[in-house]
Amino acid sequence: MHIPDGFIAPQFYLSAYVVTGGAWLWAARGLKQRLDEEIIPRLAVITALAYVIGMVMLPLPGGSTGHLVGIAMLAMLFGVRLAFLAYSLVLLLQALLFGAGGITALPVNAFAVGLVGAAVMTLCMGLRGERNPLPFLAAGTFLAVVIPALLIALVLGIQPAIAHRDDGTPLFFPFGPEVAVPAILLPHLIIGGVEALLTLAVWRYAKTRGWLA
Amino acid sequence: MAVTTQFRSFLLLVLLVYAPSCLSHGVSLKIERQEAGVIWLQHSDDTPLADVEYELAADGGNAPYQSGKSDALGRVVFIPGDVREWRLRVFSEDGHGIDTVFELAPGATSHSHTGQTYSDFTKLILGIGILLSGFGVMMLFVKRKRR
Repeated sequence: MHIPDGFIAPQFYLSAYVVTGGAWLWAARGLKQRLDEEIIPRLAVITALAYVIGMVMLPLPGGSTGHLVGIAMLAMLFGVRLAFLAYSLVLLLQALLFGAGGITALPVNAFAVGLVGAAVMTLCMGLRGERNPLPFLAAGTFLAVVIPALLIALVLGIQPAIAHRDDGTPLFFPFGPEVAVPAILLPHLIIGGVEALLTLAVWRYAKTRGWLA
Repeated sequence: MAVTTQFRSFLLLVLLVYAPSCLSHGVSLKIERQEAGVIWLQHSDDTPLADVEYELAADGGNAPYQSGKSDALGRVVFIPGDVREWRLRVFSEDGHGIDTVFELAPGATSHSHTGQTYSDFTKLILGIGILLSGFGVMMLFVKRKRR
């Protein structure tokens, strides 16, 4: 779910930098007060876990491959703002070291996966009230993967309309939403299910350690 | 009789004039061996990136020199001629791909466009090291603040 460099028109990613830059500032406000000696080591380990699972390719039906995301477990343990910042760091490292996702596409990837994904997970967990958290955990994780995937597919799908040559040939990502949405969304239905199992395992571990609020 | 001879000559002349244009509606082939550049597109697990859209532009420019789809083995074959620097863009429908500029010197037998210095495993460990050391520094600042 990383958009590489060269897939998005400059007018789109420059606007995305402005919007996501504002979100980064919002997330960083009051950061010092939210970080303490207990949270930082946990945040370090879970961020490193998100980085690693994002690099492990899973074979998917149809010969394609995909990878887990890790935003749901970050949001579950640290809330939207810290999860968004930590996942942006993960995306930056993956882009710089592996070329997985681009620097120009970083604000789009960070906004869709880091911010929207974390917000969806937090919203789902907030709906549980006093009820059994497991269905909300599973649904939240699944949606925290699928909704960002849909957003990214739509962003890619509108690129031919945004930037094209005089003869209509796309200058950047060449497929419209009718191709991009199913091609990106369908594998993420499986990834979302697998990620729900991972988040559940992290939740059980965090619960035994007393990390959950 | 003289008229018939003139008419036949005229017909012959018309045929001669139009014959080349009639032939131009056909398709002719010229096949020869040339030195070609072969780009191998692969997933990170070394499986071929087959049947994906690509666009190849000369001199790192945007005007496409060649475009199409990679073959079943994930190959893109092109005739580089005297051009050394190329820009390759690859797009798969599921949002994967690459946008890279590479150099292919005349007479070169192989070329890796990725130019990887470190293995993926080394980069994975490097990334974890950067993350943990970054948070370690943050921990030091938080401890100092509390004192």
